[in-house]
Amino acid sequence: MELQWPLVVFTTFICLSAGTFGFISVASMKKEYARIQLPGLITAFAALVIGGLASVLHLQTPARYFGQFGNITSGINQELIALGLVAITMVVYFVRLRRKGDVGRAVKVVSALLSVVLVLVMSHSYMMASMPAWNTILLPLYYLLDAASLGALVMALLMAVCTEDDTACSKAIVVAIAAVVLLALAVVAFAVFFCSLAGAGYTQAMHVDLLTVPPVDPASIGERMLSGDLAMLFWGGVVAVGLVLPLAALVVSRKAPRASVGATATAVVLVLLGGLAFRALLYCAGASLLVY
Amino acid sequence: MQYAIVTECNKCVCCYACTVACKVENNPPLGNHWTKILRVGPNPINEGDTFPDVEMYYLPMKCQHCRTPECVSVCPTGASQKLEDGTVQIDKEKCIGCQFCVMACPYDVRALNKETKVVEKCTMCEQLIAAGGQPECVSACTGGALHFGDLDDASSEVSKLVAEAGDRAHTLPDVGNGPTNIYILDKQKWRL
Amino acid sequence: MSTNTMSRRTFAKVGVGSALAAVLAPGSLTGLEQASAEELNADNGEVKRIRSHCRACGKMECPIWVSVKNGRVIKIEGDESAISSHGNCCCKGRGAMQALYHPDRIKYPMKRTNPKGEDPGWVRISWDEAIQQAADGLRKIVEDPKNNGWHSIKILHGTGRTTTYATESLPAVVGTSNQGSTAGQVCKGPRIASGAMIAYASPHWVASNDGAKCFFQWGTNQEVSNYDTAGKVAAEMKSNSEVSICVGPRLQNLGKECDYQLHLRPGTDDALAQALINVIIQNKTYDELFIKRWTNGPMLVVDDLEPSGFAWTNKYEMPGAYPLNIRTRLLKESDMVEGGSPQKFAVWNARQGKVTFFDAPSGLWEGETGPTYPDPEKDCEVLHPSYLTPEDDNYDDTAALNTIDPGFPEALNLDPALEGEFEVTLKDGRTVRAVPVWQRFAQRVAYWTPERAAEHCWLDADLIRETALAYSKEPGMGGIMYNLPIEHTGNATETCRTILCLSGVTNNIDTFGGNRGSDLLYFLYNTYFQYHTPFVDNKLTPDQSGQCAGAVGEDGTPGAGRFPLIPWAGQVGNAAIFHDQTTCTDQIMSGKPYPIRGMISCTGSHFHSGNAVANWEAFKTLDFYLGWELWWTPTIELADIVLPARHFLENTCVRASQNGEGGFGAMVKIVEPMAESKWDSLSLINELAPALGAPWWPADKSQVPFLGQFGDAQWPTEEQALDMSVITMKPMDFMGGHVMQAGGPTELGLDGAPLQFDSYQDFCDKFQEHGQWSLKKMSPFGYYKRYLWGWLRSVEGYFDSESEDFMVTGKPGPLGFPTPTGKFELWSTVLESYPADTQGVEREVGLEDDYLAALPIVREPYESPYQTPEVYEEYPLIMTTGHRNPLYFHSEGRQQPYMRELYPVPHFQIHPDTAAQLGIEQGDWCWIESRRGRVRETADLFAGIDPRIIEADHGWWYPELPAPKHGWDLSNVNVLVDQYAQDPVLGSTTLRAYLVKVYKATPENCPDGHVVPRDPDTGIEIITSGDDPRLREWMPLTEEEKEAL
Repeated sequence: MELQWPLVVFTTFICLSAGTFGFISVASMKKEYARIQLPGLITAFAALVIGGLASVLHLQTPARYFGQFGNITSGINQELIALGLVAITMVVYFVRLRRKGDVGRAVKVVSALLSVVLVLVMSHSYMMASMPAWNTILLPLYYLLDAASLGALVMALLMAVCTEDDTACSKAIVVAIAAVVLLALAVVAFAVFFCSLAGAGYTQAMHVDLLTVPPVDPASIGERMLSGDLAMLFWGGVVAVGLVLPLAALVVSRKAPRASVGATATAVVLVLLGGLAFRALLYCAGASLLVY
Repeated sequence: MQYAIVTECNKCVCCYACTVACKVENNPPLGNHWTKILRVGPNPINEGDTFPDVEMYYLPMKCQHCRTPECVSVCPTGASQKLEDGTVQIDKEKCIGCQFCVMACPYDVRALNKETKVVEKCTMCEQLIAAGGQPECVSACTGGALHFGDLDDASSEVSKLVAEAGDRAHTLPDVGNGPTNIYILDKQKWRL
Repeated sequence: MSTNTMSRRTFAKVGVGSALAAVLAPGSLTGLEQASAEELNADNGEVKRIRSHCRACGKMECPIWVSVKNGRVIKIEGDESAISSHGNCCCKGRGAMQALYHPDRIKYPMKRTNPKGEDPGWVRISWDEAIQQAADGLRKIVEDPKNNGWHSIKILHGTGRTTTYATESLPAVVGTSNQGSTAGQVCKGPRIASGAMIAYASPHWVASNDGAKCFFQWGTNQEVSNYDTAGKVAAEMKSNSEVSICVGPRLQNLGKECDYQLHLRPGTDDALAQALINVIIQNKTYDELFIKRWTNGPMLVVDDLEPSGFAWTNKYEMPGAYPLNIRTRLLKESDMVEGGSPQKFAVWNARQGKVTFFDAPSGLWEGETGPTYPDPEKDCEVLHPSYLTPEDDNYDDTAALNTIDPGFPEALNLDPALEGEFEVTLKDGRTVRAVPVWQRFAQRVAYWTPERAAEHCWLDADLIRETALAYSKEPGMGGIMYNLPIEHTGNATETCRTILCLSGVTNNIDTFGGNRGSDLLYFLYNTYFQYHTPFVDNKLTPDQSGQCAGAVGEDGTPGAGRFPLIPWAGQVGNAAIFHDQTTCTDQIMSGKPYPIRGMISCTGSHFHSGNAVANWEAFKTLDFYLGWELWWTPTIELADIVLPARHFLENTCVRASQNGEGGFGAMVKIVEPMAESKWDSLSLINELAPALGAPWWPADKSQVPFLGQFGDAQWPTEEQALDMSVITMKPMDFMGGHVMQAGGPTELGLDGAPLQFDSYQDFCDKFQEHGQWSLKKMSPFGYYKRYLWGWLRSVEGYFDSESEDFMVTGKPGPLGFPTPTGKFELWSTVLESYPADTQGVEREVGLEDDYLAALPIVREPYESPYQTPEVYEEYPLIMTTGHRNPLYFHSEGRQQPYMRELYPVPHFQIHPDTAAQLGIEQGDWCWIESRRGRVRETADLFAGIDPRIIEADHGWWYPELPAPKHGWDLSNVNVLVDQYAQDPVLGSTTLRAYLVKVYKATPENCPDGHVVPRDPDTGIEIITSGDDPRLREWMPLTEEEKEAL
């Protein structure tokens, strides 16, 4: 389906935000990671705002939204609630951090949990019966791992920039590597899933006036991304840019994290771009059950 | 109550009278259509058959005014609503144009009107049926393929048609949304 | 209804539950959400519904309801009370507002300032200037001694979204033989003329609204084309039939549902028709009585006879007879007896073992003193369509009188033989062998066994057999609806008449639901409105008519040309009025035998008949071309003066449905005309004709008394033209005493109430109230099998001194058919007398005897796998063209947004296997190339067509591309046509069934490297999708914008 860039940006940045928020909350339970809470919080909050603005950009008349949330159980409203809760939690976290220096375990646990919930709720809203390519548990799995990768990467970056603790920095890198590896596995799983879509129940008919631009066979997504018109996006964007290069960069920076801030920062950007690319791919795969 | 359109596919001749009648009546913008005619086939009658042993039918596609509409459940503002008469309508003053309903519809019958910035689709000509009339497409149909009525009323013409059709009556693929437009197809294999 | 809290106002405009409110449509409103009951009432939102007729295509003229709000047309829908169309209103009719209010309509008289072939540089002039300059330009040609007077001006016309056909009558006034329309030569002309040759005019029109046991489509898609049978009526006829047959190469919109689908090789319909007849003859499922009593099947053929005969004509609509020289080998009294009549034809009376004569002029058998009519009590029955019950509103309206043929009067002791060999003695003393026509006819078709036809037509032999048996299961199963493709494959005349013979031998001629023709309104009702044009005083003599392109000899001798029957077809009328486009184009270029230097058109294009490129080049060279048009079409961009025509919603005139349904009513002026547009026909009649000094009406009206009421006028005003179309109608003399009113005896309770009006306004008022009149109810039209009653040969006189009435008609004439033998001609004496000039090209198949011309002839298409195998090697696909697209009427509609967004580019249909072999995928632009040229269309992979055949859209041009060409040669299939591959009798172009090759368009093989067609000079690309912003520019003018013009 038509690529909705605002939504792609939205979900990517929310993943960045939730991942960062989640990781700093959990990691800072160990004091060597406490230092990055403030910069992490600012990063997470900024990402939340960017993502939020992007989603508003997608709306045609956002002004109408206020005052009529009509359908509380809709995915979007659930997202909104989750976003709101996370935002509030971030503020609480910030206030407490400033006042007390330590926000306390409870807040950290809640923050981490809410971050996970936000990602789950957000990804779940895209799991629609009408879109076989999105209607899989792999979607929330991917989102979680994307958030985790981004969060771990930001954590590693902030550690290298803000602390002097080489061991902790290396550990952060290792966590980031682990997260990206798991993300890669999720991508592989998705690729396998895409290739298996033939039996997904798609039906096709010829739209009589669409004879010039025939419907693309939605079950061909696997072939398209592995060797067809989407191969560049997949192999180049998702795999090379989004997984292989950042891993390489992380392996390099693991040895001397504080000296390789550039490499780590690059990895963050690359994984972010890879996430955008994968979501673009998701949109290309997003065809409704009845295609014509 | 469930107003619905029952289509005898064999009688649809793809004349576009319904498509243009809908445009004149409801004024969707250029490039958007609230009803589209699909051509299913020609396909071999039996596997391995070649021309002339082929068959084809036309299928007027439009909003299915589902029993449990996906579009309604994803709509954040409640703009998408199922009315008492069974039709699914969009309150344009509430629509924020998030287009999740567009994504959620299994049949891709909704579209954003770029001029009015709200999502639109077939309304079953609510403005006409509220006054006791029929949807424009049904009135316009050349082949006499389209029928309108209340599927929950056993004595209605549409209910009788469906009852008579038995296993020749089909719906579009149902993912739990319960599409209400019934398609009756004689002598040919239903391929959707 | 809804207890939902959401405001109903948001998307339902209707507060009141009135029917009128339900008719609301946006029109100039911009969206549901902006309307409210208050707003509507505030701007005086009363919606008026006006009854009228549609003319969004050139055919059905479906009665409609037009909804008007504040003087603005907001909706068009079908009138369900209409007898001819049952409420049909196709997408073109429904979307006609987009034509009416189109910003690109021609608005003012325009004159060119640049040479032809460039952008014309149109400048606006006044109507007076335009008419004067046009008259001057035309007169200059006429008066030039190098030219041939008015013959040097040719007529061009299409079917006109405007209104009427004064261009068809103008030739009678000024005396040009190059009359009529090139469209007619390839559309209906052959059907009408071939019908008139052997039966009567236009028998391809089936009375489909009667319903029939057999629904039979042959080369037609009426469900989307509404081709003289409304789509709705066709669909209903199919639904209510017992058996259905569809003949055509492709799987069709409605045809796919038919019981017998014959997907034949394009151009083999003639052989299939003969094969079907053959099966029927072998199985003896023909109607023997019809053949004996009403065809010339029993007439005797003598091989050993010098053909002889008489002069004969059967003029119809246009006054101005063109007699034919009938020379036949049929045995006549003049062959047997000195001083005998050449119009008394011999049959062998098996009962008495001797020859009995049939007198064609009187329609009487030897021994009869007067016509033997059926007995109304015994032989007649009132029929209603099978699908109606007495409770239906139109039950009475659709009733008609059927007559069971009572057979030969017993007193005649006559039973003509259909088979055998008989000895007869001629007047010169010789004894010769005579054989009935039927035997020869059976022999001719016997060649076409199902097996042979199967091989020739690419069909299954059993299918052919079963189809023939199904259709002939009993007599009168239903008519055959045969349309355009039959006329397009190089054997138009023969194919049409053979199919009609198939209908004839099974007794489906003028039967209930059968091949009806029309109701001959013009001659049975004293209305002199020839296809919506006021009566014209004809001045064309046969010598003049015979000078038309195609009929004129190389040395200028009238009627000595290749197509001597064309002038005769012209006096049959309607679409059969034409000259040969191909010869004309050549004549324009060569000036031989006389120059053609000018043209007058009311719509009309250069790319429907003949070869488009040749026509374009020729029209470019014309000294003067005057045209009326709605649109800036490529053809009109070659004109010198262009005049703005009105749209049908801006004009009023009489509308008689041109089909077998028998409807009559008014087309009503709904809105004020756009800018300076005028009723094209009328401005031709009362502005151009006076400027030319060409009176429409004679000064001395004593021979035409009904015109006397218009005083000295020699050109009618609009009011006069309209008045005369209806006030001259008067009741008929119903057979001087026979109580045979419309619809017959008492069951219907009809009194044959005549159509009678005081004035045109009276007519319109009554029409508003009554709706379309069913002629079957109102007049003597309600008879079927009119040959039993003398209604096919009703008397036409010019002046009846007793009643002092001009053209008193309405008296029944002789029984039988208006043909040279007075019978339905299985043996065509017209074609026998005028055998086709095949110019040495041998295409005939299956002739095993010498009677080339009289009996049906099968001809292989000019270019085919069998006729030109060497061409087939390089051009391995047979192409058929022009499948009906409901959105477009031929070349029309490309600039209407609601049409163009649904179908932005031309398609050709190709079997997926063939496409795969050629590396073509769905939607690819491809070249289609013939030996004459190539064009581009997009591929639609369609498994419903034979892999050896493709089908391509016709009529394409691109209004969005610049003048003068508007990209017409980019995709128009008439570029590919061989204009010399003509029907040898009437000259119709081979528009289908020729050979092509197809290959994918690539940057390498496209001009300027662009696969998608574009204008070569400016690079502007065509519109390829419904999202193109240029479509927006074509949306209707607002009322303010229109008023500002």
